[in-house]
Amino acid sequence: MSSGPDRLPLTVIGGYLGAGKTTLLNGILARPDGQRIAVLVNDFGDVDIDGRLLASAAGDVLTLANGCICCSMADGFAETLETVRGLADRIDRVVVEVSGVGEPRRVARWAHLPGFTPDGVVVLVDPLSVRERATDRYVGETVINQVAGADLVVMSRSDLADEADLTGTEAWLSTTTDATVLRAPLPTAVLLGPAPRNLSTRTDAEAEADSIEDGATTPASPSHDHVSISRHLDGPIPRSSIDTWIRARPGGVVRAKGLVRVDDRPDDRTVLQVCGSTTTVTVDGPWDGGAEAVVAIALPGTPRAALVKWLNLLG
Amino acid sequence: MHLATVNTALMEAEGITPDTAAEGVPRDASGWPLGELQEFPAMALAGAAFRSFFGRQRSDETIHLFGKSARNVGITTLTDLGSSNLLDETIVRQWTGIVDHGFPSRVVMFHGAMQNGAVSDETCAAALVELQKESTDHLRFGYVKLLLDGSIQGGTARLRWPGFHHGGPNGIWLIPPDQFADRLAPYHRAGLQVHTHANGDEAVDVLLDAVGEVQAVHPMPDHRHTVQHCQMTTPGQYQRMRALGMCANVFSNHAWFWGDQHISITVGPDRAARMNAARTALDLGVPLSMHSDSPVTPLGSLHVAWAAVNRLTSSGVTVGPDERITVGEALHAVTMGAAWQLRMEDEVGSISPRKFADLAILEADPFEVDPMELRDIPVWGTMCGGVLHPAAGVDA
Repeated sequence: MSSGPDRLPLTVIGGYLGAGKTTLLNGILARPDGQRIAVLVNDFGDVDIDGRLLASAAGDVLTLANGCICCSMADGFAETLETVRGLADRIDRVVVEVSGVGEPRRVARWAHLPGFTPDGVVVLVDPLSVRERATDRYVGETVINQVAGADLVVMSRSDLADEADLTGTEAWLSTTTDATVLRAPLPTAVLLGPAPRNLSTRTDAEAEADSIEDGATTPASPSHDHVSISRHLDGPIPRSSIDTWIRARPGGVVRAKGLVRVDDRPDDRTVLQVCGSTTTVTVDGPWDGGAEAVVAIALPGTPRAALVKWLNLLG
Repeated sequence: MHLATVNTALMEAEGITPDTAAEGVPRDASGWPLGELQEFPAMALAGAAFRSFFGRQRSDETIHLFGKSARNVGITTLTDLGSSNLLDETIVRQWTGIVDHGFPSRVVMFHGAMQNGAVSDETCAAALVELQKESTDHLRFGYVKLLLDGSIQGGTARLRWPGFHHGGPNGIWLIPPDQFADRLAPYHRAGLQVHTHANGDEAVDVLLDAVGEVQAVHPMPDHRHTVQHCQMTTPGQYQRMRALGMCANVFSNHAWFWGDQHISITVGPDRAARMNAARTALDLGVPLSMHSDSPVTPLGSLHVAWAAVNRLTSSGVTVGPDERITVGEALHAVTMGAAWQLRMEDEVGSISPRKFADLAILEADPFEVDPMELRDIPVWGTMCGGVLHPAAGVDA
């Protein structure tokens, strides 16, 4: 992103004990998809950082050779966010791990602090156990609240579960949450959204398709089939076109992000954001003269033409 | 801490404006924040002021003021129930440097095991057993605090059916119920006493199950594991606590500070009348103490005792008269009852040869005054280990 009132996108990742958070966080740190990601964990025991990846360690901050960092929140959440804000020139986004009995939607409230902007609540579920957990006397309500508060639900261990478990869990989830439900593994850009620099470096005037860089370290992953489309905008867009755009969103869109100017607030930067089922429109400060652009990422099989048409609704 | 109020200057300095998208920031009709910040994520918007407030809570000056506050209200033994991480050598040295002869009160330090981070409970227990050797007459180590749920008034306690009277969702778990016994076990095995925060009756169920489980595997006579707050505990649970050898430290002040709200909002009249059931605990033979949870309610054992004796709410209702206890029972709970739960029953808690000369010096006999006046008895000050400590403003 360009200079100006940059805020670090903050994504919250939750899910009950054993849902696969550690696997997911390790995957993000190992394959950050070209983004410099700060992963905030309850303690370093929650991740398993390959020693060859580690560039340096200082107190509660581990720095990886690929530009990512991992921070322990042992000293408190507010203190850790302050530390991360001080590292803003070294990172592109923040991922926060929520404890197994925490409610990710509540933790996401912290993303409104200065220097940050909310970028989705992702909740992991184990397709083999989540339905049983949801009826547990002590934690059933917690599990349901986690799932109900998600923008994006990711079923871990999809490769270990049989299709009946997966479809059964998907059917249960559809009655429990409005969130978009996906099966792991997923590329980082789908989980967390496009790299911020994709928005600032585009110069193409029309919507254009390209592929997601995912590090290509997991050939079995379906990531190559995900569809990414971006569009450069020029000048303020009508407020009404945003409403139209939100309503016309094609099925299959998982993530989208736009930095735009709007006709009724032409001097401010307006942020459009799609994470799973949720679309938000916020103002994050005065317009800084940077690029105006929007990027969308969709599931495999989503027609490119539909995405191009959708992005062209803005303006 | 659930709420902060800030002024316009601070909001301008920290950029709290109509564009502030945070939840928990009430606004006026034009969309401007009013200055009320609800819960930590919103309070943190106050930036440096927020951090400085919590930083000052840990200063040397604050510890000295804590001792003076105790002296002013007639307390001779204080507990820090888990606010400190005693694996941090700096924090231990800060307390050992301050709390010694001359400090107006003894202090019992509970390690806040919720702050262990990546340190395992086994490692932590071993460290606390070592630290226990540094205990002095004035400063005690070797106690552990765990937390299971939140608060009743905050809607975060874990309640059994039918849950909150206001219909809100059940509360939060601070330790997953199926992991609690595993967290308790290493301290139990090491012979360390564990006090566990459990406000709601469902949280107490988890705690009692866990104590039963660790006792079955590693029987430990006289462990005195204690339920902290213990507000919603049922008579049946008190019977189990007796059978398991556990203690109850109830939060009697709730009757006065939130009794009306408990009747009308949080748990309804039937359960409000049975909250902080001191009478039931004593009748069923559970060792009883009572606390102020300062700074949640003001420090002061006379008020705590008064609340248990009268169970009066702020609006003048007697909430649960059947759970009232006598003045003698209440004074025993805040002296010998507390001493037992801190394993200091042979050192403090009563005036006796071969115990420390620790006295609360009152201007009237609590057995002579009207029980409704118990909290109003003036405090001259204290004697701690034979050293007089007149309260602020007392002409000694």
